[in-house]
Amino acid sequence: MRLFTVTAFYSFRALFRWLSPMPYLCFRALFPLAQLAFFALIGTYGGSQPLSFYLVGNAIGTATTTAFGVSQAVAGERQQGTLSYLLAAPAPRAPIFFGRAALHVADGMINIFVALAVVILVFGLRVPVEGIVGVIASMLVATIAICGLGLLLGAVAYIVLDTAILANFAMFIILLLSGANVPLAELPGVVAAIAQGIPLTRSVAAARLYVGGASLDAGAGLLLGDLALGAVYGIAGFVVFNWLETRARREGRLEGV
Amino acid sequence: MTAALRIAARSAWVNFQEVAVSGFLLFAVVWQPLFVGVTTMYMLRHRADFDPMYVVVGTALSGIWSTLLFAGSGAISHERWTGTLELLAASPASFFVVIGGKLAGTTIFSLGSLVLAFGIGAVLFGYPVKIAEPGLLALSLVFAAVALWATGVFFAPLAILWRTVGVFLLVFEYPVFALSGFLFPVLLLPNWIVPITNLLPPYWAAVAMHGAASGDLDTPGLIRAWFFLFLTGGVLLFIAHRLFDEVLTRARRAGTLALS
Repeated sequence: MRLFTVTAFYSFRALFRWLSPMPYLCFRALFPLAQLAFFALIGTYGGSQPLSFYLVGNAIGTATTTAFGVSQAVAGERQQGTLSYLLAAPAPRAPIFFGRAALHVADGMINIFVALAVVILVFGLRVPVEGIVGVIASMLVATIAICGLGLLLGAVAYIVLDTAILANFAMFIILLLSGANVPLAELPGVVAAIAQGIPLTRSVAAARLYVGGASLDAGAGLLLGDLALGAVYGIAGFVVFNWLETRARREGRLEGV
Repeated sequence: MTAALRIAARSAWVNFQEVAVSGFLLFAVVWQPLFVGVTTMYMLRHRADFDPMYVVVGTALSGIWSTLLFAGSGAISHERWTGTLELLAASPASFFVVIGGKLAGTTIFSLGSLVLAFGIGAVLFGYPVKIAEPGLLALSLVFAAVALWATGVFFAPLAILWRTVGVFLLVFEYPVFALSGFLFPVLLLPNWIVPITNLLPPYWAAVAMHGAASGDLDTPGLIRAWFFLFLTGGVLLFIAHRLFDEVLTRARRAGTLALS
């Protein structure tokens, strides 16, 4: 538990030069809000869906930036040259690996809260009282699911090296395929099927139900689905991480996997 | 003048070769416009007056802007990481010319976004992508590239003083897409913002390119857009030149060029 907490705290604090508040503010607050406003305005201009469709989709979509932090927290060990120390330590791997996502869940929630406040105060989105708990649940599930994806990306980055590009790919794929901006029914069949396998698709759909006034039960299945998907991604990341470690030890080329 | 041009041309060529294999810039030129273009095409295609060329041009401009926004500070950061920033600043060649040349190489590379954007419209969506005024669009593209290059040069000296400027510049990416009307008209924005858009070279680039591509802008309107494109770009370039001198002097005085 101590290892989990220490890992969570330091891996979060050292990320992206967040030791100073300005880069944090730029990357985790202003950038996602600007992205949200941009796609909401395109949606308004397109006019095929009501504005609330784009506001809810992109507010939940701000969770995608969390993937950058989580993946970087894992892959950063290699870039900073501390991977060999980490893997030589006798500490159990699970708290080290999953601890890197812990604070990002809370941070991601804060980001989505800010995004939701912006879409309510600036764009005038109305969230019915009975839907508030459901919307918050959707935000939490979206963040956890994205953290799972971030862990997998971080592990994969040991092979492909560039985490930021991987996370960028993930962000744009999710914004295109999750239904945040384009209704799934408009996507070609194969692509729509792929959309079911990416995080956020169900959280976005559930959040729209709740903003429409549905009861908590109505979107519970969707949220459980996204939660399970996030867990699958996270565990897959852990498996990849362990496999790479085993392979690196066997071949004696930790930094050159 | 000839020497400066030679230095700029060599810097451009060296930088072109570097950015052509840079994962980040390849993402900015190829993948990001692809995703933005496809998403926008889906979002706008239900409009009664939908013109795929609007998305094609807007997507291309978004790719060029994303690339040039980070290219100037990226070029200086690259020099810092490789330990050549101080050598470059101390050399007799103008720092402004070297970085300007480097950005020219990146600008040429960023034009690949336009080819890609046409591919999205014509190949992925199968739209007949028709250009109303091909010659005027080509001219507008050249002028837009020059003005956007000037904007990139304007941001570059900030990286001399501030090594994490890239994160700060990230905040300008989407707002400039929006303020310049790349993919939706600026009239959707609040009234008080609209005059600000007129100060931005990317706005006039979008006016000229959208106008020439669709044929909606008459010749006087196009010439007016070109005029303001050069005016705003020229002002930014002038300020950038002064900024380069100022920040280099300050960095030399403090002796912290590689540490700032």
